[in-house]
Amino acid sequence: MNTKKGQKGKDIFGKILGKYGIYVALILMVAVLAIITPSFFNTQNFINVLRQISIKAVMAIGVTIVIMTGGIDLSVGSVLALSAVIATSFSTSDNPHPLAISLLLGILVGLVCGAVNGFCVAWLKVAAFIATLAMTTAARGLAMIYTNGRPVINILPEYTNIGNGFVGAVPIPIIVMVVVIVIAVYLMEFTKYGRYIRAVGGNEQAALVSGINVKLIKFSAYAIAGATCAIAGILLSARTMTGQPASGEGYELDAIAAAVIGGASLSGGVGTISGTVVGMLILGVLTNGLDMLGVSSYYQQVIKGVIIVAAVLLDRKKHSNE
Amino acid sequence: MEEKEGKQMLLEIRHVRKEFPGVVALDDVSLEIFPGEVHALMGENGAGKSTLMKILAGIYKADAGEIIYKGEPLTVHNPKDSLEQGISIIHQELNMILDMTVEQNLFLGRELAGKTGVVKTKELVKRAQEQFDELGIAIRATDKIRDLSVAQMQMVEIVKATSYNADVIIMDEPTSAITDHEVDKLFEMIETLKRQNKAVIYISHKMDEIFKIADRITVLRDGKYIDSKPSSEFDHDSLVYCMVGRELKDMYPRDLKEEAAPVGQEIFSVKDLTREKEFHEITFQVDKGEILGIYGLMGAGRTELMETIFGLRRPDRGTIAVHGKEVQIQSPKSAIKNGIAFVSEDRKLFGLDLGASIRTNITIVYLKKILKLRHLLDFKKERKLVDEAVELLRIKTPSKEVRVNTLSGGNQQKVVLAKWLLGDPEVIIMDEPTRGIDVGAKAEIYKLMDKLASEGKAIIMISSEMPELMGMSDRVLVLHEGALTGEFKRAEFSQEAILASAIK
Amino acid sequence: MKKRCLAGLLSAIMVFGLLAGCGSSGTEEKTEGESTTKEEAGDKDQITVACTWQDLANEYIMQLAEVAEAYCEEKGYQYVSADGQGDADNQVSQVENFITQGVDAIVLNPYDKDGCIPCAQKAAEAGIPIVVVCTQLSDLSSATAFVGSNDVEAGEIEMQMVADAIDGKGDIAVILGPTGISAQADRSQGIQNILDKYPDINVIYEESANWDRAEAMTLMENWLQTGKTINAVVAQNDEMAIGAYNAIAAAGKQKDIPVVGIDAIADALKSVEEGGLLCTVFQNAKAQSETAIDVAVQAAKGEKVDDWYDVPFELVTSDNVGDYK
Repeated sequence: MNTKKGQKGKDIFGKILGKYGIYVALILMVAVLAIITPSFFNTQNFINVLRQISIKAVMAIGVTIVIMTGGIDLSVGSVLALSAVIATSFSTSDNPHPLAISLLLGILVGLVCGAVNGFCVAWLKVAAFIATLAMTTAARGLAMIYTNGRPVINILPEYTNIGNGFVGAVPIPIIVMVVVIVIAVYLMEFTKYGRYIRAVGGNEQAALVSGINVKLIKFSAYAIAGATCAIAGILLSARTMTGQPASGEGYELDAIAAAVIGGASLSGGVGTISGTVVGMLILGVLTNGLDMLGVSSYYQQVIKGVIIVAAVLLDRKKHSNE
Repeated sequence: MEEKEGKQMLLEIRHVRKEFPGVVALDDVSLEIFPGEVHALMGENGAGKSTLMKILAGIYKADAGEIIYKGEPLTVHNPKDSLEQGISIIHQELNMILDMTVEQNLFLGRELAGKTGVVKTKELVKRAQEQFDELGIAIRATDKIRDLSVAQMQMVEIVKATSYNADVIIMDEPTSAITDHEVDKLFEMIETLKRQNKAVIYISHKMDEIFKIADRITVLRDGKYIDSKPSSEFDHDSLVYCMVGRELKDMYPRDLKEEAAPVGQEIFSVKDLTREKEFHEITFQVDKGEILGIYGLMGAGRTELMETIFGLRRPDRGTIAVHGKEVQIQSPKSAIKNGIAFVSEDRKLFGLDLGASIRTNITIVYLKKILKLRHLLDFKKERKLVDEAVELLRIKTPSKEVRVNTLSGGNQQKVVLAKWLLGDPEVIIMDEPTRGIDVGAKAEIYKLMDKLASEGKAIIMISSEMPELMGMSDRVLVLHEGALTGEFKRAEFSQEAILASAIK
Repeated sequence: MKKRCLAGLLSAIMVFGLLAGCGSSGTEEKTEGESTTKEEAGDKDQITVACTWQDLANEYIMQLAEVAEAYCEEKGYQYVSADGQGDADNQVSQVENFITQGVDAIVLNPYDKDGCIPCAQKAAEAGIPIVVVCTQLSDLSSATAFVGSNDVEAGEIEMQMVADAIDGKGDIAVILGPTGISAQADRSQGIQNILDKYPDINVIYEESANWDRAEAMTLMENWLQTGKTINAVVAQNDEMAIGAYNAIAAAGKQKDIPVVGIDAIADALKSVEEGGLLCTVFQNAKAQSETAIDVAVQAAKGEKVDDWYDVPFELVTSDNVGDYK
């Protein structure tokens, strides 16, 4: 009787590990860090971590949607920078405008960059890797041209407040992130659109035969990714109080890493918003905990690499279990 | 075994057992293969044929039992091992590098090189060409694989298999992608192999082929050995009975109906439909309740024609009409809006999202049926509709959430049908609806087609299988090199006549 | 030329098209025409000075380039410029191009102290004077001269300032640039030189934030979270100093933890003026760039020049910040 129960418990544990592998990994990580780092496990630090991941998480959500269509967006870091410098440039003490104009312009720029990506991929049939690589250098160049290579400074307080302010006790970036997550989860899990995104990524030909406007779906995914980059760019520039044309470099890798850790498949069709957010949390908690332990960022990079591969292997195990 | 007297047994499988978690794939299976014979291995999908072959290929290891090859126990650890020992497998999916030449594919992994490492291409081309010439196959060793027909690729695979001096050649569904005409060539080649005293293990679902080519037939069912007899001692019905374990009466339900073809009430028609280089001036109509069969050899333009009707290709000229009213079909989306459904010949490429669940595959086409507020998914309604569809089509699955690539071919095809039937389309195009699926599932699909026709749907069925074509169609159109070359009513059906207009 | 036109067109479509009617950002007019590469040296009388900059995305390097261009115009030299974009290989090819074009003198601002050595060698072989500016080469033997400031000195200046501020004892955090780059190594050396004199100062955290403001901010937040007392923060550039300062200010500890940086970028000067950063260290871009051009031209004319021109760093505190704005 006892052994049977034990066996059953093992089965259940295996199942949970298979199905919720990354959640378990996150909890384990938090538990370990809580034990070895005294100041880790408290509300203030959780707020810290959430605020730190908010920028990349918003961006990673857009990237995840693109990845789910079977595409990739390498341009997110550059688009972030371009949106950031344009948004900030309309909210400086030399060039003051209503905040809404800054924000709308920034988001519009991101949207347009994403739309150009989407147009190239969907209609011109340029490989996503190539099209967004081109956008990576083009958007970065435009950001440099626009600012003349100089950061935008003297930014108005109402703009920087977006990055550093609070609503009640909650930092605004966290609120923005949560809103984006809620919208994205809603879109991807509960609407027709989400189904179509997955169908296109799962089997593009079959999606076409099923009467889905594949081109439009792909296009929209890149446009959404562009918009999330812009939001991330606004958050970043507000938080650092400067619009830097060189900012966001390498962010695409973190975004892709988070999506992959969260179970997204680069061949498309598979992935969840919640998975990506957890992936980002894993990366964020890791940086936070290891910083507090005084571990060098170079070791942190190595650990990140190990985690990415481990996550993919865990994911494969989950599928072979089915 | 008396007729084999004097011949040494080449390969003997004794009491092999293989278990996977939760399933017994092979249970006490035995098989005897003699040189110079074509041995057909029959059974429905899931009967254990593939598992058995994978054990021979060294991909799986048997849990119990033994394999005696040329008088000694066979031990293989991987496909290369078995290849080197003289056991070659030609898989259903061809494994060739399309952009390499015939010769390069033939010698892949064992190229002949000089001291400097430079491949002696001339020498290899010569050797390759000799092999083809010997077998009387008109393929040039310098051709690119991409430029060959599927049948020719198959020939190359077979030559490759024999070039390893294989004594046992296993062919898994070798005719699934080629037409009757090309099958004849394949059979000629198999005869040649027989004369060279090689053994061929032939796996196929196609009864007529089996009776044409096989010397002996072994039947497996549910992982168990059922029977093994010379093929002359089987007939169609007894073989099916053996495989299915029950009698399959009314394989073609339409056969039973006296002059089943309904008259009048055209639902769908095309006029002068043309795509230069593919098909020309195609005009036909389908009536309510009719099953229209379309026959043609590979390259006759059948699939291209259907894809054009469904909006996957754009016609150069011509019109398409539904209920006599001309419609513009720019994309699959507009085809679907006009009540047309398309069950593609390649369900893996066009039919299904293999990594997604049964549920999402079934509802993806007519998603609007489960939407509230135009965009929101109504999961409750979805589950209800999917449950109904799974029950209606008798899809065998533990749950509606499993990924479709875990299902058998027959059940996958049922999922494709389910997703189209959900929207109650008026015109259903079925391109090779029973390709690669087992007899039981075939019969079910035929029954379903008959039911759909009697409900008043118009069905256009493309088929390369003559029995299916003649058994299920009310009328047959024949395509040859992009033009309609024949039309046969049910009363006029004859295999010779249909084939004659397909070859011209 | 064509590429630039195209880039201009692209930017015109994408940026200006978007912003039409939304007012001016104040910087956009400058973009066109500026730093345009002049055509090859056709005029024999005119001296052509070619510069390759390590990375024009870096604000300080941008300043150097602007000074160089303005100075050449003032002196009547032809100015040719190339952007290494943070890659030594690019710079080697650019120098090769300069040699092919037959320029009179080359100013090299190397990205990598080892990777850019071929630049100097190739120029020397071609008999064209090459002056290294701002950042170092590990082997200067082929170069005509070096003009720059000693980063060791910068590290010493900022560390001395901190040591004085905390009375020679306490626990400090050091935020490094990306390791492996000469500026980082030299500044670290300078910091260490001063630390050697103050045994009571402990470095409890030392980590890289890759010159990046956001990264430094995250790092500082995480350190503060540990609750350990930090008496001062020494950042190896201003971006990181400002990032750290923002995190400290958000925690309300800006009165307790002085922060210092290097480079005297506009944001940092503003911060020093407003009582934020304790100090920054000014690297004289104008003097560096102008001296480099002068030395290069002198060498091109065959005049004798020194091997080494030192442009000293200058400490900027709230007392003298007005002079640097």
